[in-house]
Amino acid sequence: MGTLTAIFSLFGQVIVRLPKRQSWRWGEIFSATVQIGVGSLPIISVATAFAGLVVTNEIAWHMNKALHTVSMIPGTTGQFILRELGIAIPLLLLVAKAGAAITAEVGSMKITEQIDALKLLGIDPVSYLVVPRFVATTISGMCLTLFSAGITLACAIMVATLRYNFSVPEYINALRYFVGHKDLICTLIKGMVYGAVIPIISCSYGLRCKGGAEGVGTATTNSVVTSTVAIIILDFILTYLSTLIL
Amino acid sequence: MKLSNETKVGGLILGTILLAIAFAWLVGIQNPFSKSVEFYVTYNFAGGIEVGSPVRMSGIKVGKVEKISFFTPADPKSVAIKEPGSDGFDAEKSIVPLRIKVSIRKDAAVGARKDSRFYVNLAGIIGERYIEIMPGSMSAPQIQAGESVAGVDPPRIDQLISQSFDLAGKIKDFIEQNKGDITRSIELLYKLSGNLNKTLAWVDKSAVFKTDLSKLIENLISITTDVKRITDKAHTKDGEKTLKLLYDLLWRLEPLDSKNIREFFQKEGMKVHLF
Repeated sequence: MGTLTAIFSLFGQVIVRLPKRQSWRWGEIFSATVQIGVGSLPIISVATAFAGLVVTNEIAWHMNKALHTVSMIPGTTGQFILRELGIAIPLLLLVAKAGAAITAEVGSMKITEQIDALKLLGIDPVSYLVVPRFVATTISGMCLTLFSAGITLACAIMVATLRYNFSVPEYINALRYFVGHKDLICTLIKGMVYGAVIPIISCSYGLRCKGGAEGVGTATTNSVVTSTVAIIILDFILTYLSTLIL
Repeated sequence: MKLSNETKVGGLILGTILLAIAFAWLVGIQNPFSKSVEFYVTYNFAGGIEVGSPVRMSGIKVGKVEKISFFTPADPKSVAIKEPGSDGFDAEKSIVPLRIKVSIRKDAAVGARKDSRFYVNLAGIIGERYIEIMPGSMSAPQIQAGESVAGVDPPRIDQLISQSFDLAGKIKDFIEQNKGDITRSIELLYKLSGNLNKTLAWVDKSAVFKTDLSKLIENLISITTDVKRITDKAHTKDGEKTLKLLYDLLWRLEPLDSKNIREFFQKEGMKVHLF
């Protein structure tokens, strides 16, 4: 309960500070975006590329078994990639890579009393540490989601073309029947929301870190677990809402 | 070369924007700056059309369904729209509850005329619904933006099934009520077919029928051969000349006094009677 309260409290503090001009520390935001977004791009690209190859093969295999046709591959893979796969995989990887790094960084600052020093200097630690990471991860989440969706879809097209005798225009034309602007909006919203969740949870654990190096390790582990669970629960909520609204 | 953080972030955002544009093209989002014509098509039953369903003209995608709304007019007769090709208003169909807003490309809108027909069709193996516009005649006025036209209601499979159930029930009742009569009729038909079989077998075996029939066929063949020969001759030069002479003769005989002819035939008749 205490963890949830701390997370929501930190989220509230960030929202309050966002309209303030002094919270927008562009140098920090750019630095964090490069570390989180650009730095995660290679690993996310590789992971989602293979995810695209796997999912297309799996869907085609099941479809062939159940329906004795593979003509629905573009629609099924397209929707699955844009609504789920292209979002969940990069964001869960982002939790493991960026979320853990944020908790470890902020936690180390906490146990070495750097955050107390900031307070003594009259610098707000939330504005200084959390807001730039919040902005950077939100933007990165959205960008990485689109990148991963693009890569996954390209790999899905590759499998459909090489193994199931689809031509690229044929795949795209079939895809257009099933995928629309709503799926694209859904992708961007989910990417943005999950991107915003990661720094809040990570910083919350980092700021409440106690003890020495062991405390940092525990906080990092807990932060990754909580972020992963939070993303999965939020995924259900957003998917449910998107099917109702979009 | 070491890139600055700003350049890297700029590259990431630029890449994302380009990807978003590519995705927008991929999923078929229409150019918001392109001009399209929007009008309404009314239905009593839309058969599963949804917002975003494609609109096709002559089999080509030219637009999509923008909005579906229920239409509750205060005075149904004042807004009842006659379906193109129908003779008049159907009192039962005077209320048109569904109004579908469609947007189509401006170049395709030239083919959307007042007498165009708007069918709800199915495509693909999962039965995706779309509106098919059959282009109207050039003499009919073009549908203008915001105008309403009547669509052709798709056949209702649920209604057909329920009607067939109803019909099956009626047939069952009829059979149960007239069970005796139907059984007797079937027995009679069975007997009749048996008798017919016997008769045909007798005819087949009968020598009289065989010889008479063969003679009859032979005679028919010789008659038709003669007729053919005569008609063939009629088409020759001599035949045509003879026909022309006969025609001239008849033409000359026509103005003769019919009274004298009648008298001649009467006298001839009396001679026949007396002698």
